[in-house]
Amino acid sequence: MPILLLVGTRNGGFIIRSPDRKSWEITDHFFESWSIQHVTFDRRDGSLYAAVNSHIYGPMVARSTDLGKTWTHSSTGLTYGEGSRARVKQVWQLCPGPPSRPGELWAGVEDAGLFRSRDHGRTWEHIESLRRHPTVSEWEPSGGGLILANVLIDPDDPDRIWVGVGAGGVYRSDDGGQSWKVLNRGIPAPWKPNPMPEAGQCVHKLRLAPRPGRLYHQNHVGMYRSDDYGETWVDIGASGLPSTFGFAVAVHPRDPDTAYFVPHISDDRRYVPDAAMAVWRTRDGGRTWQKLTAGLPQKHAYLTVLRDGLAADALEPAGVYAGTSTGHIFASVDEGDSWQLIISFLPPINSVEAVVL
Amino acid sequence: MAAQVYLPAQLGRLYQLKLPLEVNGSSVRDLIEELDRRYPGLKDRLIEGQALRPYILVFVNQEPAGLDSPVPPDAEVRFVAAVAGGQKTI
Repeated sequence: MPILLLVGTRNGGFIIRSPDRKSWEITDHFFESWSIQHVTFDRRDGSLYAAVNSHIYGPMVARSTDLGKTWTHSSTGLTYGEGSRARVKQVWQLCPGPPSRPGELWAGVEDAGLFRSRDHGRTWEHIESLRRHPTVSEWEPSGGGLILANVLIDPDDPDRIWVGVGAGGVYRSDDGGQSWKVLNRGIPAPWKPNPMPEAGQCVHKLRLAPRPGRLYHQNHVGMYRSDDYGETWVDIGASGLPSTFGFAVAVHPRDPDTAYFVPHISDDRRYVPDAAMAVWRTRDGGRTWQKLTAGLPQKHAYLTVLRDGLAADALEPAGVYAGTSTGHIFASVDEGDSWQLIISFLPPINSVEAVVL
Repeated sequence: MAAQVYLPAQLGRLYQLKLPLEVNGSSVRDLIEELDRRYPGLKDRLIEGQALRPYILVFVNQEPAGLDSPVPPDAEVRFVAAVAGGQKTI
């Protein structure tokens, strides 16, 4: 079954195609010289969307209806307006809406905020309710800036939306973005005067698991799981891992107990422990961990896997993909047991997404 | 006669343009509005809010200019992406 990897890098986006997960070929390189934070696939109509950024020319959202051959782009409405001190500097995350609302697309941006399009990304409206939340005063820039790099929509309830802000925390709306609940119970933010604040936590990656209410969360300070839609978080990184600092999470497409993380040494040395790459897998929701290294570089691998750099496909057995800051993509077709280097020497990779056509 | 307008190469590629462009307008702002009519979204690449983006410079007949600078007939207008080191703002 054909599979596409959608790859965002610091120098454009790439489409990498395989007929069988054995051979891989780069088929398209788009928006050269632009930084692509995220490329995603819209299952409703087969569109691709890309978060396209330039520190000179600003951010925009691009759409392709022919799997990356041609693109249109727009940033109309991607602004906080003249009266605001906040600026939309980059688009970090794109999330297609539910099947019941064709054309709906959500964007998380830096400076942290949420925007919605109802016309496939041609025009945008700011969801002001989030930045009006009383806890927003706790937000502050993380190493990547003050960014909203996580937008998730509940497949069982299209009005339930999670966002994750670095550094700001997790928020959930149950009414389509009209109001928000802050959801950081049990997660510290040790750089703050009160190390257990209501908000201000540094969310790196949130992923939904295929079980109602379950989320995995790679935070600046650890790895967490929620089984109640984010109301409470369980620390799943407390034992057995070399570090709990990292950026990315991937979740198995069918097994809610299986997830993948890539621990890094620490927040000041942002590469894998001992410069030896390992993906860590849990099969029991985070109670125990397995270190997966077969086929991954074990010497002088001073690499980072950024927050959208880890992805799983929907095939059986599930494929797992890791894109690195060094421009390499490693793939596993056996749920992480073994890995193969499939692409080398891309620009630094921001995001990887796997699409089974 | 229309102004001869040069854009940075990155924007030329984005819109698949053959530069220079011949554009009518009596001020730099007019030129940008006309460019945006022809190439939707181009204005947002050059302007943020009511001002030129921080890294965008414009020259009219090789003289530093701004959005409200007049554009004489036959002028050469160059939009340039400033080279600056290491900082996100200048």
